[in-house]
Amino acid sequence: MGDDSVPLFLDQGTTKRYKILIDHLDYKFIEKCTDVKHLEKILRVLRSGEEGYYPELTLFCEKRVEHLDLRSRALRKDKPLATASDFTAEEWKTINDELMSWVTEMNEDYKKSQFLRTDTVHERQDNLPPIRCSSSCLPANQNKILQNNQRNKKNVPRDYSEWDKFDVEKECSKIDEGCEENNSKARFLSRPSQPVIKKKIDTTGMTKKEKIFIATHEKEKGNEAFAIGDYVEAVTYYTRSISVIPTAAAYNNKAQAEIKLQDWDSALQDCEKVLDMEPGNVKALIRRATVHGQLQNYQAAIEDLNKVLCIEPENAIAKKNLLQTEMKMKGLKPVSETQGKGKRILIRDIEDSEVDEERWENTEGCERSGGDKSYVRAGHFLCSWKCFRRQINLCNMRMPQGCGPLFVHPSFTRTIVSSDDASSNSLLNFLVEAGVPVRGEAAAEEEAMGNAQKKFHSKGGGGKGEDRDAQKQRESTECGLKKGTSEKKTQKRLSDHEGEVNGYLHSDRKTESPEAEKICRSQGAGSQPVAGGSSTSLPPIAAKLKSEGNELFKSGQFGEAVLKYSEAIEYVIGLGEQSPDDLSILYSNRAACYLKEGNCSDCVQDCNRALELQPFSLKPLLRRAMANESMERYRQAYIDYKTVLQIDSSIQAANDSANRITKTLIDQDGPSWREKLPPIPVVPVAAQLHRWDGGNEENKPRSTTDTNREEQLQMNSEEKFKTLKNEGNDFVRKGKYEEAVNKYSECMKLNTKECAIYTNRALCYLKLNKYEEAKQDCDHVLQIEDSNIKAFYRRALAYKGLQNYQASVDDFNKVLLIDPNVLEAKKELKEVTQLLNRDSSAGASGPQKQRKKITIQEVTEPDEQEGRHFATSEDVVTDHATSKEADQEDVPLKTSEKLCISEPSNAYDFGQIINAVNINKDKAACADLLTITDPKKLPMLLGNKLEGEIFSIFIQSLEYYVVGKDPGLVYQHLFYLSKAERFKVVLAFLSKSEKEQVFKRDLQLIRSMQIRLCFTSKMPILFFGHGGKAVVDFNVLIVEVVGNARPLVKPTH
Amino acid sequence: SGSGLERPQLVTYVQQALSYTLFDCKWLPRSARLLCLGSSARGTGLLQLYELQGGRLALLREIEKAKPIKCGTFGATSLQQRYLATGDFGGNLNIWNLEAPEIPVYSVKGHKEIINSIDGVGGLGIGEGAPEIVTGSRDGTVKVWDPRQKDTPVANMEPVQGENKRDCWTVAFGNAYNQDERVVCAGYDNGDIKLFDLKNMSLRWETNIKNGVCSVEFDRKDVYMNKLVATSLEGKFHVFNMRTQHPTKGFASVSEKVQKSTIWQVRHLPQNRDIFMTSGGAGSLHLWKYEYPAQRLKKDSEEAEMGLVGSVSLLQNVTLSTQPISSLDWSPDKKGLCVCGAFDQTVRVLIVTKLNKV
Repeated sequence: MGDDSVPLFLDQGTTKRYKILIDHLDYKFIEKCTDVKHLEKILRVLRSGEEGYYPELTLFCEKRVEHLDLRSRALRKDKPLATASDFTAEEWKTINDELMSWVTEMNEDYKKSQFLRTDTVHERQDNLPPIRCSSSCLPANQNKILQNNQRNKKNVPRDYSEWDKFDVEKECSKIDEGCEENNSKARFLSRPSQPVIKKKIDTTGMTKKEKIFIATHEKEKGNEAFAIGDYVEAVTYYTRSISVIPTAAAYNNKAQAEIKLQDWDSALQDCEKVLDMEPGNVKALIRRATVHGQLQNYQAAIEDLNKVLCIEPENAIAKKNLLQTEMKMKGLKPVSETQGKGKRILIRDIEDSEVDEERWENTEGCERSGGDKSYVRAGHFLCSWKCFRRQINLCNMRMPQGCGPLFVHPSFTRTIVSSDDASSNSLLNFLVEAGVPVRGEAAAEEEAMGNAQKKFHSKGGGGKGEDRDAQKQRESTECGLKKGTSEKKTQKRLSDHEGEVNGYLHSDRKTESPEAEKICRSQGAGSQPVAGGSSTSLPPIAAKLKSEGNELFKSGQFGEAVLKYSEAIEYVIGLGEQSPDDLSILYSNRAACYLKEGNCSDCVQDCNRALELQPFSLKPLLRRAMANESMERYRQAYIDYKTVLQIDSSIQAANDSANRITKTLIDQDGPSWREKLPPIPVVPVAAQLHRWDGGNEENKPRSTTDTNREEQLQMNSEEKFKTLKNEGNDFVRKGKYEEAVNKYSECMKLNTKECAIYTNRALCYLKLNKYEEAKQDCDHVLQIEDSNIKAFYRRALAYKGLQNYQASVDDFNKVLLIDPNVLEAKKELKEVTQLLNRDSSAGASGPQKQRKKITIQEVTEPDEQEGRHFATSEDVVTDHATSKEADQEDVPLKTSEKLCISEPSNAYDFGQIINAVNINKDKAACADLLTITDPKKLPMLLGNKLEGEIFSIFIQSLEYYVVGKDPGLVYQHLFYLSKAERFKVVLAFLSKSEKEQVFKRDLQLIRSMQIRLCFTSKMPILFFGHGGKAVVDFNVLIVEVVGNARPLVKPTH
Repeated sequence: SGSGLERPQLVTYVQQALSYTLFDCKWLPRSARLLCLGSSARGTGLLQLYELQGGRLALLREIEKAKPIKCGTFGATSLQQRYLATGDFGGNLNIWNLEAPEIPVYSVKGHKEIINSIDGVGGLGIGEGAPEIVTGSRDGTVKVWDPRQKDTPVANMEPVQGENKRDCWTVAFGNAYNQDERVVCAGYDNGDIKLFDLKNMSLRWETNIKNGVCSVEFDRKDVYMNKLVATSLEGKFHVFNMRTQHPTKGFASVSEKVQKSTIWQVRHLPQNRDIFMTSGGAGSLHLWKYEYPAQRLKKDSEEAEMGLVGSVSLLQNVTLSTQPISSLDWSPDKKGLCVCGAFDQTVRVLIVTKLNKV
């Protein structure tokens, strides 16, 4: 230590080297100095010992340099070679053993290879390419020989300048005219962007070991190319590796590269090859799931991910993807088969809605009338939450084709609510729309096919099993309904309604599952002799083919399923036995495949065949109708739908499609459209099923709604209940929680069993910081429904407010027990656990904590840009906790930011980043992404993936991060966003609630952003809402950059 | 130093003192054997074959030849034959069957003076196209040979008559990703680097790095030309992005100053082209990693593509000797195993750990 103080006494001015002030060789100076260059010099002086030997100061200086610049060259020190003693005994043993075994293996191999080395060597020689410019060249290279000979004659080597003067073009044209251009250009620049590389390696005469060496080598090349994003090259090298030895690893890597190239089909094939070799290969499973997800085969994706989780329960990627896939799937799939599953979906949505208030109110308050066109019919809101969820699910299916995965946007629910006469049609329109060759129904259909598959194995009993299942389901749903209803009438009404939904579902099953088809028939009047018995008549080989076909269909490989079915058909026909039933089903199944592939004409053909064999079978009729509809042959489609409805009027899809087509036909043919229709075949009574109330509804598709209307009259109290509840929801939406509480309380007088009212009121109480009351409401709900996740969640929040952290933790745990995927609950749980762990005295009071939740969302958004000037004095108290929270969130955020650093090269990458961003709600990352993304590319990158949430996060990040820096870019982004494929659809689904309010609040903000928005005479069109809501309306969007008006989208109406 | 151990470590596995000057050492492919090439005290050439046996190097064979052997390569031989091609002080290119080393299977007096450097391609499953050997000599010429063609090279690169002949210190093959494409890169004592395109028989590019070029190597010989590292006399090395050639500016590069002394060798890890080791005049070894830039090319104002270059980071450095380390070779079969020969007449087998984690 004494040494270190020496410099202080030496006051000689500067050092010999670098002329540094002696004073700088001091702890205090070094500690404060931030000039790395200067510090490096100091370090060199210290190390040189020219000014004395100060080991500790030197060390201190090194540390300081390291702190400032980890990569500083001054830090590089000559180090001696490590020896065995530098490792732990264990490490060294591993290293040593590994090497030893390699050495032994190699030496043994070497000895073996000496015996083997014989004439194979010469074989290899024959495969070699010709000698450069040599006389042994093939005739094609004659010119080259000449040239070479000349050179040989001269025997004077060519010098550099000669090299340069060498007329490549001339020479090349002599050699090979085809290559001329390429060569000449290649000389300086513009080499082919994708080099031509052989995809196969000649392995003639190679021993196994050699092959392994080559295969590994090529795979390594592939890995390197992959690592820097040369995916095409990577695929080539993997292919080469596989051509030598097909290994699971190479296939697996190739699949990953193909995923990057969005070559889904090849990726799928490769994943399957890996899984053939290694059925439990986790990576391959995850990759296949990704591919399935991209191909919209969510069911298959989920199966794969579940397999992964069976093998590695903690696999984070699989968990995340599973969650995403399920969310996507939810957007497509109708009611899940098991109640458990259905519940999970339901819960997640609630929790989503908990994420922010507005959204909550959208989902929860959806029952309220949507303002203009959508209003709710009496009784509708009474359906239990589950019932409601079903509708949502059904509605989700409406996503027209190409929509891709769509998270359920809350505002969606608004559309669903409109299940009155007109809009129920529209709702169902969507269903069928989705059923057209693409998407939507795919999941449902797969599901059904999956079912069929399962049933198929159980053969004879299958029919009954199915029936039982269906019944069970109906029972359970009705059970659910009972809870929510008080009056018998209502219940009846509801079960009717439920029947509608179920009816659709059942029909869906009937429509889609080959086996179920028979069940339908057997169910029908019970008088059909054909029934299930005939199903056994399929010869085993054909049955196997069919089941394979079904399996393939289920996994979305429609093309291959077609092959299987075709084989089965050929086989059955070849047998000559008359089994029209089975043949018909096979045709019908193949038709389903064609329909999926979009091959409508073949679909129609197959349906025709199926119907020849089995007239009036439902599925072929429906499929033919769908195919015809996609081919815009509306009349034929109409006839088929009508026929279907004669057979089973409960098939909503048909009902709805018929209505839709009616409209189209009226548009097309005018009022006399009916006259142009071919005659509708009359379905024999024996073929009719499910005749509603004995009436002749076949020709009156709206008759069910007529009966409904009658019932409606008897439901005054319900209507009142509904109105009250709607009013309550309205108040919640406006933030008037007191009033909402009053309304809900009135509701309760009418109906004490409607849990939603209690959970809603509980939420109001939470907002009002009346935690005790909130808790009581939740308790009440939990008495009725002991697993109401919302109630648990809100009670947990209430306990938190009451500072009863232990109880809060318990409740959050219950929430997570019911659905482990509720992110909000996880987050809250973490927070509360911290509070619990900290001493309770430090805990802030309830209201602050409640507020904290909000501040987390809002304060973290503006981040560096806006600073925290939103924070009120109250927030300050909680700021500490907030920032801590934010810190903890850092990890996932960072990963997503990392993703954003590079500009996404293709839509897939972009989609991945967006998903990550969306999950974390990481607006900063999103802003980064948008900053580096060329706005022009936006529509391309988004493809058909634009959805409400993404739109919303885009708008928010543009608002918070980008607009301040570059308003022009914001304009560009908005402009091109409007060009995105699904922009209008998304617009239509975005909430327009609170527009006046939010508008007023944000006008200033908008002004400050230098972007003024134009409004039509009626409504604000687009503006940046507050707190994360982009409010958009009316399919019209005009943004005006101040002083330079440029409409984004012209008003369409 | 907990974090220090997470980085790759260089460990001596075996070292063997020799009684002669070692110029080059090479692993025999698909074996745990290595060759040491050099010059005996009497001025003859020596070729020793060692085998790793347990924790030691066992000398299997010693062959003495007339001229000191400067360099060798297996690059143009098949995985089965494993013939060694050598260049000696007399300018001779010889190819040896190590099983019968008495007479070379191929021999040519290729150069008037010492062959400083040799490289091979098209063998060992590395590089499409014909097996070829390139030699660079003090006589200023670079010649490409096909072992199937006796006496004359298949390509010859030398300066115009009367022009100053530069000593060629190093040669390397690259771009051999298909049967047609192939380049040779040569480095000279005056800092010139020349890139010869063998397909078009043209001088494709040249540059000068101011100091004598001791060693050049492509990150891989058998891929669409990606990177080239060139080391220099004054302790610097340059990494060139060889993917994109600008019409006037050529290839983009980044340079790194290692130390004051010469960097004698650069060798890329055969199993990962983005990791390479340099050996220095002061007996030191540096292990580097190249990090790619976010974008590897951009368009200049005239819409011509120009390459962008990333950065290199030092993974580890050690000092083994006071004498220059003149030769370095990674085992093609065992990742992380390498051999180096120094002028302190010692051959060392090293293990580089944790290369998978880099």
